[in-house]
Amino acid sequence: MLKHLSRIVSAVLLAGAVTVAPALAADLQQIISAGKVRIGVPVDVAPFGSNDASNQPVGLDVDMANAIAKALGVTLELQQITGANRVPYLATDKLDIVIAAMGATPERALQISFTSPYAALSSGVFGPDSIAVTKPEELTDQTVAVARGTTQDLLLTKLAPNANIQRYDDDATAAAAFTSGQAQLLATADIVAKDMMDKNPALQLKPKFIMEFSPCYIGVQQGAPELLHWLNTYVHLGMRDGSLSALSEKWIGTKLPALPTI
Amino acid sequence: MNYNFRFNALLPYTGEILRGVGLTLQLTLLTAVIGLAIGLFVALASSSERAALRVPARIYVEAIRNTPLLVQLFLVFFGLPSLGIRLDASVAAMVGLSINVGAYAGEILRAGFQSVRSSQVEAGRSLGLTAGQTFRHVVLFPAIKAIYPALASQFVLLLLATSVVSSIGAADLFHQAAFIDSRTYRSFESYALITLAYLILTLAFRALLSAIYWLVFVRRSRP
Repeated sequence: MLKHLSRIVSAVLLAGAVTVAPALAADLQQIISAGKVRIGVPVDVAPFGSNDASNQPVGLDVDMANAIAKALGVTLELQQITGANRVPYLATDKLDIVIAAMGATPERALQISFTSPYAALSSGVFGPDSIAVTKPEELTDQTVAVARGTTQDLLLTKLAPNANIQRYDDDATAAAAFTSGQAQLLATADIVAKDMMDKNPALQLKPKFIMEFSPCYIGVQQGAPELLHWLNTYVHLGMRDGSLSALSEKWIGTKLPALPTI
Repeated sequence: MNYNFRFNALLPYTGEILRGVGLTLQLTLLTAVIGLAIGLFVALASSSERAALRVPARIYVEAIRNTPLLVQLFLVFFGLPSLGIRLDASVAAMVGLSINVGAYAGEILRAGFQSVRSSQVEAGRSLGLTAGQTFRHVVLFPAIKAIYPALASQFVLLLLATSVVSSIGAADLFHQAAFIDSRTYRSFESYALITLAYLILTLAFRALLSAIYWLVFVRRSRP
């Protein structure tokens, strides 16, 4: 019985392996000789990728795609994709590269390859210049608003046991506590802080300290080792010359830390 | 239908629960006293002959009784800072609740004053009592005695309504339960525990209100 079952299982696994086996990937030289690169960027994940008022794709990932095409010396064929089809687009050879605020997981890495991280989402504590706090331990009397039970709440409670934490029902109420002056600082995601400042330029939500980073990786098809290596080199150099950090500051509002490479 | 209660998970949070009970009680008692004082002024102003007193009192009562408590609290906590008045969450909660209870207590007291016939006031005056004495002994005392049950219910409702203040971040009993829930993921236990706590608090508060009634009205009126 068990033997029979394991046979079925291996048959199913084999079938799965056959169907998801990537079509022959276009590697670096093919892309250069073809003169174009197909890159997917998010359509609905501001500030990484979304459409502006005139329906043009904008965002960190869009800038990144343009810069990569330019560095390769080929024309860019931009494709807007959603979170759900990021991996399938690569696995079925509809795209060469996906730059879509993507986190790496072992499951995804079975189907596509990841470069070293080029950007990161972060959770931190934000506030005006007038408050001189650079570390969680320095938080004492300053009031910090946070949405109860979120990652930021759990991190802040752990890192800053002496902080005066005000917990609200949700992100919107915590943000209202900050904007109304009821709290001096706000613990939230960097993109939320950036979005609040964009909508109300009177607000000062400068990062005081970052509690956690979630790195984002570029995805490429498996079987394109030269392209993967070229992208890793590109990311490495961008990290060194500060251009990736500048890109992050432009779109997310925070500088990029030294992220561990793959 | 087979839930495993684990109240042990809440044990590390005993301090939070006790602090929550403390703030809930403090809010209820302080607000009841302040609200009663506001209510007395409002009731007098509402019954006044002078429009300059009566109209603002009516506007206050109608505005408060026809808007949600939660909105009033948000207005005090998130709105007033724009005018430069920044109150802590627990102070803002007390202010908001007092303003709210003041309007309801005012209406109840006004009904009490109306229950005293004008002939009784005239009788008091003709017995040689001053206007102040007449108000105290002939109007106020019998009026409060008449509406005491309604007032007591209002104060019990107040105790229950304090659970709303967690929305502006005041760390009352409900706030603490939500906090414990967010840390232990023991929702059923957290809220079952505070249900019991509210029940005990309310019953104790009712007993206190009955004791006050007995002390002030029953014992005093005995020959």
